[in-house]
Amino acid sequence: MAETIFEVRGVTRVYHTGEVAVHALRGVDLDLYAGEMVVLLGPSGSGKSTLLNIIGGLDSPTDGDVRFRGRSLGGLDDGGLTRYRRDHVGFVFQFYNLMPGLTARENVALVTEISRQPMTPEAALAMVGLEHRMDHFPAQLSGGEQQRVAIARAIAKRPEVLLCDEPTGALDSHTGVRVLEALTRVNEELGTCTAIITHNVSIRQIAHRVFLFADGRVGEAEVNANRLRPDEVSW
Amino acid sequence: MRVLDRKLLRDALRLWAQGIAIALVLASGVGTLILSMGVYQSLDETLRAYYERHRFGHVFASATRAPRTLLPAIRALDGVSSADARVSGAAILDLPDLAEPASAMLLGLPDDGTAGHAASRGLNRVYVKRGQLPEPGRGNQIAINAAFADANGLGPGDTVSAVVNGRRTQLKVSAVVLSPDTIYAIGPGDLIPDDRRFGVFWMPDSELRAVYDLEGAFNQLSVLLQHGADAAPVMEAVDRLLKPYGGTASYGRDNHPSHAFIDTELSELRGMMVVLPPVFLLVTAFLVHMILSRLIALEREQIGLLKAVGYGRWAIAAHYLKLVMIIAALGILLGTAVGAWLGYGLTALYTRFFHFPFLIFRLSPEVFLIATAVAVAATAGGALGAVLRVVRLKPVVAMSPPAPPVFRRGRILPPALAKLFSESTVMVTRHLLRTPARSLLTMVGVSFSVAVMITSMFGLDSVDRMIEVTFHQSERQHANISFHEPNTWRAVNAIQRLPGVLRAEPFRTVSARLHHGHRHRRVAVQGKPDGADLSRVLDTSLEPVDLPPTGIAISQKLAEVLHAGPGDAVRLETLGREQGMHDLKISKVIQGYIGLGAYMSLDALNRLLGEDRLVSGVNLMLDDNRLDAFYREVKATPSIHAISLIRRAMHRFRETIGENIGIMVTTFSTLGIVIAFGVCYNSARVQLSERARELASLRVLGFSRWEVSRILLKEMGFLALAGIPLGWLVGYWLAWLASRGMQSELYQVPFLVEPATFARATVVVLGAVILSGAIVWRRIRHLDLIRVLKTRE
Ligand SMILES: Nc1ncnc2c1ncn2[C@@H]1O[C@H](COP(=O)(O)OP(=O)(O)OP(=O)(O)O)[C@@H](O)[C@H]1O
Ligand SMILES: [Mg+2]
Repeated sequence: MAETIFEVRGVTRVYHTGEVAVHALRGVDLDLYAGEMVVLLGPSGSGKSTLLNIIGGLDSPTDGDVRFRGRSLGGLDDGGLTRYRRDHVGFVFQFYNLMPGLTARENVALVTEISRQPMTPEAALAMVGLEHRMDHFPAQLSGGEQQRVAIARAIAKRPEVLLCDEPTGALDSHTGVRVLEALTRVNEELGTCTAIITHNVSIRQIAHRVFLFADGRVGEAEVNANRLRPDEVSW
Repeated sequence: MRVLDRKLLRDALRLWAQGIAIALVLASGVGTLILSMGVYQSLDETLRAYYERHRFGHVFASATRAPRTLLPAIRALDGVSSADARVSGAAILDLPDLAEPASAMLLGLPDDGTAGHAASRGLNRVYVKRGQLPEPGRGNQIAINAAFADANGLGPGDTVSAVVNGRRTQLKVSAVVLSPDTIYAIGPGDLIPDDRRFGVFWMPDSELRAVYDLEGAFNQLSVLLQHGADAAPVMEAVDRLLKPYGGTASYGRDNHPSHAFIDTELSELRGMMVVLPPVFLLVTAFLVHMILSRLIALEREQIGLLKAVGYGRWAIAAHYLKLVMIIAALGILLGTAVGAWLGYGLTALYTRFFHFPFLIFRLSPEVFLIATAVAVAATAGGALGAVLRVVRLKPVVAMSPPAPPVFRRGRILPPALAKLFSESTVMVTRHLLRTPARSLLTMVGVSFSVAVMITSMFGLDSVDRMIEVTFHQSERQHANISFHEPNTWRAVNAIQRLPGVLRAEPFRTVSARLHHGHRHRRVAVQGKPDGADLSRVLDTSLEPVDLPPTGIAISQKLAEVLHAGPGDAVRLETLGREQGMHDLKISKVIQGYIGLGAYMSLDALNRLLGEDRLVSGVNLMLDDNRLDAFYREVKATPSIHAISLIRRAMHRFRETIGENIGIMVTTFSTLGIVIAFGVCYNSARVQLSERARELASLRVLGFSRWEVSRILLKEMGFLALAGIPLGWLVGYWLAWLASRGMQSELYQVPFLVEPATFARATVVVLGAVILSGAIVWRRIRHLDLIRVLKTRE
């Protein structure tokens, strides 16, 4: 068995909006291993994004603990979390979140500039097949291209973990496949532990393991016996 | 270059117009600060050094005839470092190509021949620009002040024809000099220096003593105090010593005719320093706050992303701070350049009135550092709120779009009230109320621009009123002539007979000290004949009044400083020739803008002094067509000691002010425009940015460009129109404060703001509002509908 990177134990997250308390997570336990690719599935509002944000150090649990390589994230202050995100985590968001004022290359450079052992922005963009679009601004790129820039940006620092929140949510099947191919490639070539949230049930087939979310809880992981390549997935 | 810095540069280029609008406001603040502080410092330092090196006295006194043997006693007084005595007199000059008579003040130079040397023990030492100082026995040699020399093209070797103590003489110019007690040299009856018509002449004191029959005596005393010594006891002692010799009350530097004027200028600079820069810095802070808040609201998600990928919060805060620091840097550079340029200009203007061996504008490092520090502080202060929001923003929250604003119809504008107005007015009002702080601050910003102009320009109205009242209602004489010694009515009749004299009214002047309780002031009591029509006394409602047969009438300011009013008993201590103590009642409090005035009926004054109808001089009304003949006669009449051409002085004053009005109005209008434009343009741009989607949607729905633009323009116009009346109020109040600050015993500037000043400020500000409206309108016309609608907000 591969090394455990994340140990999530009893994590709850309660949002207080006005008088009502929303229980986004109600005690989640799970482990993530080095080099694996997992898919998180579940109905809208079941807490997937919330968990991903907590793992990525963007949010903190109300209760419970997340350990990264044995060290509790709960013990980190804002500076510590910032350093944790900078050194270990890559994010891909549903709405790309590129800086509109920077070109594709610059959007990637934004991250490589503050990383310890990054690849060059050019290499990262090449991995997602965008070597010909490096000097375009986000507004000059299609949605799928923008998402691939976002992936290049996330992988350029060679992160140990790659967290993707609905990376294909806004894309057609063909472009979605290209994005998934990029993610798979990074997972295989760099050994990045990759977690992908999706609403597309068929994408589960590319993962090593699948977690099912329901109402703030997670069931046992299902292990995929036969993984498919992205282009074999029927969309 | 770091990628974030590249973003910075692109942001800066995108926001250039707004950035420059703010930088201009900041530059105005920095500029006025550098101007006022820099000129103040240059003037103050030059003055100090000059006074120090040339031993300008601290205490001054005059007497009719005091023996020089008093000097050792004066020098021995506690706190006195040195004392110097001389003779002073006056001369009427006949300059070849000047119709009017000119006049000169005569001052004695120390006899030891060291007057201009560093080793001289004399006070008020002259600075020799050209030539050699006159020496006794060389025959009528004089040194003349540089301003007079330059204005009349005179230099060493030239001669001047003068009447000195009734004798016509040719004076030979041997030197052109400056002195610390004549930096500002103003002739009798003049309002500003008239270098062509008034000069200061120095002669060896022994020669002046001979001319005025003052052998072994002096009539003017200067005292230099020891460092830190108190002037009051010295002044008392000097008064006591000089009293038997016709001493008039001694006075300090604050009442020295030359120093007092420079001091007034210095306090005006100080006033400018505390009023103008803070207004601009405040507006800068507000504008920085406004556009940075908007930028950060727009870039919320980008900030969240930067945090998510591992940029520290202070690194991101620094990114935005750098953006405003670009604006600060621009403002500081521009402001320093303009401030220094205006500083040179103002200093050059000063050298026309104030005569120093050397006066240049110097921008000292500390002035620059202070200006830079406050500019950075104002900018950073304005950025603070927005930057703190960046720091506090949680990445998860930032990445999700902000909750839509709560919009409850009833709370923002009650429907019942809304019905009263047209639909678009309701819409405008509702939007303005949605961001009440910004709407209010925009309005206040506009009002500041109006207020700055009113505060800066009301002085012209006040001076105009002062002139109008003083010279058209009170002192209406064209000229006055004064005698060397009090004279009889015969002399009046002689002058009445001079060609061109239409009317002559005698007056009597006595220098005195007026006491009320323990308070006292030096005054020149004027006696006026009954029914005087040329030189009239006005009551506080500006109606001419007759002086009662008994008692003394005093000006408002004098009443104020003495805490005295009508009916109060006062003591009049007459000085000089007519020493005495007299008990009087205050008969009236009257109007007066210049100096401290005290008036009595001529008969009452003569009675008081136990004299039989003596007069000091004559006020004249002249026939404009016969002025040349009159002037010729005056030059040829040795008994005339001095003449003041009051009408001419007033016209010259008006002219000089007229010359400066243009510069002042341009400068302050520019400052007003800068604020109005900076505020309106930025506020409209922020509105446009916030509501671009809404406006674009309206366009898509079929509204015309004009209809869409009108919504924004209406809001802008509404705020401007609300801000202008507020600006009138603020401006009026600031002007009132400023006029309080300008009051001194030398001048009581009447406070008034003419409708024309309000109108001028309003027109200029409206112009700036319309200009910013036009620019915003152009932007709306070019609104890229697709791009606006595509962006997520
Ligand atoms: N900032 C917040 N404040 C209040 N409630 C929140 C907040 N963020 C999330 N929630 C609530 O927490 C619950 C879980 O949200 P989360 O975003 O994790 O769901 P999700 O599984 O990612 O859903 P989706 O598939 O629609 O993205 C939801 O009920 C949501 O309404
Ligand atoms: Mg989600």
